[in-house]
Amino acid sequence: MSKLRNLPALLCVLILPQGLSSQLPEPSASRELMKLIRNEKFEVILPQVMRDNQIDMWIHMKGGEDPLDFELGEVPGAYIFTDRGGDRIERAVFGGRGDEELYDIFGAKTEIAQFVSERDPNRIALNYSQENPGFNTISDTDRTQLLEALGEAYRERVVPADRLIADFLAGRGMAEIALYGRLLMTSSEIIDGEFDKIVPGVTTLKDLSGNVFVRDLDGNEENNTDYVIQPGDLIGLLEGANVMDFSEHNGGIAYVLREGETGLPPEIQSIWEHALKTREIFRQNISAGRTGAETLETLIGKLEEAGYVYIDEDRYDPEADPVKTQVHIDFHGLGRIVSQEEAPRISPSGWGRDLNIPLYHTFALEYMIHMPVPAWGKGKHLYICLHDGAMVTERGLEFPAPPAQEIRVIR
Amino acid sequence: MLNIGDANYGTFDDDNPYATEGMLNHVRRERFYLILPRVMQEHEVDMWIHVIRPWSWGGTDPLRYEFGSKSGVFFFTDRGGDGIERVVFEGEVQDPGAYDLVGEESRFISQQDYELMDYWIENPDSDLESELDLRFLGLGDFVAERDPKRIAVNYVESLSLAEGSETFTMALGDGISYTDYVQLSKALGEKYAERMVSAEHLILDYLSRRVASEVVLYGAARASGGEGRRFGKIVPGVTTLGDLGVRSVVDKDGNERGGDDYVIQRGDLIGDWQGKAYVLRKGETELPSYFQRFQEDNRKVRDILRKNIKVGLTAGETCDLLARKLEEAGFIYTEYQEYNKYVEHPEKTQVHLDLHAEGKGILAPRISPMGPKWHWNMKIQLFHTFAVEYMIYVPVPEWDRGNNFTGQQLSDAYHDGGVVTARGMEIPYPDQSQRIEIIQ
Repeated sequence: MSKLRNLPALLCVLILPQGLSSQLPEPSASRELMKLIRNEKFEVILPQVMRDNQIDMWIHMKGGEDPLDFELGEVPGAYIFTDRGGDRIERAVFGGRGDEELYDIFGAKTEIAQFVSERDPNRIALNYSQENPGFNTISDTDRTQLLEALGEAYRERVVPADRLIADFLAGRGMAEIALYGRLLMTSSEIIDGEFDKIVPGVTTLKDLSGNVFVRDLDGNEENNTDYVIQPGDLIGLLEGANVMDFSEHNGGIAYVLREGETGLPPEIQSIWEHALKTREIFRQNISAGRTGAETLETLIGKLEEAGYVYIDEDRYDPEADPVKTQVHIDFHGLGRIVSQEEAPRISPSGWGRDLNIPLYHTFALEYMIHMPVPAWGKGKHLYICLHDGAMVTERGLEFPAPPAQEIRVIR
Repeated sequence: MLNIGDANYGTFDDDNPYATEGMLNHVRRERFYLILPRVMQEHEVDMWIHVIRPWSWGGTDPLRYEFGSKSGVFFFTDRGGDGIERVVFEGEVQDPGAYDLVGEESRFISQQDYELMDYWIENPDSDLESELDLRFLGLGDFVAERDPKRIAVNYVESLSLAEGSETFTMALGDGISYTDYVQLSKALGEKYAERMVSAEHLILDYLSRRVASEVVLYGAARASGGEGRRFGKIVPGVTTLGDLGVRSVVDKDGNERGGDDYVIQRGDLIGDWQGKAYVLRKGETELPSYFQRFQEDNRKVRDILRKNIKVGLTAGETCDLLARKLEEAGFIYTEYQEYNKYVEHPEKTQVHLDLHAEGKGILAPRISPMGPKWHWNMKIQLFHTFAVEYMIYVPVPEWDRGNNFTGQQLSDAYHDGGVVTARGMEIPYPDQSQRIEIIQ
């Protein structure tokens, strides 16, 4: 399961001011960049996802807070997108306001029925969901009034827009990819800064910002507690960076040298080598076009072929082969706060498992390694969590920014 | 490694805060991992040898950033499997971790004074004809052990070395020196020397492909742009160009006026690529029709570019396609960066294109009539980053008293950013402002 157990807590961390010692500039989001990202989503993502979902018209009745606040604008109204052929989707707003450079048509809600019948769509997606309450955003009143206005002919053509919305949110234009990469670099820099603060025997986990954790050899975890960091500890730290609706979080790992040690001891070096070996398996076997669930099955097979034990939970399995290293996977969406959970997900859990992984999908290559060390006793094992920002391209898995390169040594 | 900075180009330069050493090293590693095996296999090359001569400080070698070094003998060998073996001899590299081996097959290879002195001390009876024979000592065995069938070496065989517009950062050099070529041939021996072929197309192909992290750097370079200048208060008949810090205007008759003392008049179009403003004439409530036509034509041109630039076509094919689409849309495509008033339909808007690569030099496809032919023959690759550079010339018959000697026309040049993906052309950072602020 994800190390992101407590999303609200992490979001609080994400919006804290970033480190003052930063060398990278503070991530910024100019009005022009945000407008560009919105427009690019309309230009390059929207036509694709409407056709993938065989939708001729998408009606999004927006009331209050909505997962599409960034994409569509925060103003309530009826946002209607129509595939009229060609490369572009017609964009209209009824009963609301919108950027005149992004939308083609403006009108009153009373004009919707005529607007729809003029376009005569065969399949109309509407923002309700029978599967995912997060996308069930149309109010009962709006739904009733709209369906009544559409009349019987078009009412029967209405289908849930949940998958369409998830695909639209998961789609990334190149301006968004570039911003994602910048945020990844920023969070890596913050993580380095947090590790710089550690004084063994003095610093506690809660002195550090982010999601900071240490597990003992039996798998018992201290997480953001007043546990004092000790020599011999393997420390995991997840920290994020965000700007407006764009967010990501990265991971880092550090080891505190024991007295007399000058570098990573063999067992620690060994678990890092497992991290790299499994990373290579993931790089070779993740591609666009399959669902998260299908991809997970492939990865499980490849891991097992390579001599690993796949585990469904992020907990060491004492019943598994005692010499084999265990691996847990949770490759969840990354880049937007809103589409972190409701996006294609290569994981044993989550609604997004059944969604297709699109080209240029941005996600966390989050996986956990539980490496038994039989010489230390039955069930004793080391644990690390890798969490790097990744992206799916035609070539497979790419890293828009440097992933973790090593286990950092703390003296 | 110090002093590598000048080997990074464009958006990879020091003034891009995200072009950190860690990021540059990452890009290099991603390129070794994702691109190198593909281009070597596609060019049927088993071994690629690239020599950057010592003490040249990189010179103009176009691969000095790619290898993170300004001198060395680089070996890339396809030994089967997914990866390529990466070895550098006699080279100090920015990121040793990017290589499988950084060493010296012979410690006499860089021909330094002390090396040569050591050699003669250690080998007093040597019958070397020349100290140059030490240049690639031991490399013959290294190559023979790998037994490559085709060995690409960095010399140019058929490509021109044209240097001109846009190539100042990274020209296509002719690579290995004649002396090094002779010495390398001797070191490899007849069997392997006969297998040497030019690496010119391999090098171009390698340089022209991009990884995702390069898109990040490219997008970071101008992420905060696009806002455009705000002119604030302008009082026609009072405010001067000097007050605004603007060099010139185009007046109501199409004449260009300049100088700090010039007083802004109604009907003036003020500004440059940083932003424009138009001062309404009495009775006007909006931009004159020719400005509106200019904006509309500009939108149409951009739309044509977006819809027709794709992965897989060559730059030349793309240029031909764009020219045809422009003509079909009622424009005149012109190969020259100037308005031509002697065309059959002078009333039509003319468009010139120079969509050259950007971000890391232009040894890559160039959608343009300019540059050497190989620019046009190269295929547009995934994540090709390029300048959306074009010029528009809109005829304005109303400016019959204009003094622009090539004809009465309104022109502008654009230089924005583009990235090519499976979806076509995308925009990685905000375009320069195309807004014309209206001054009442």
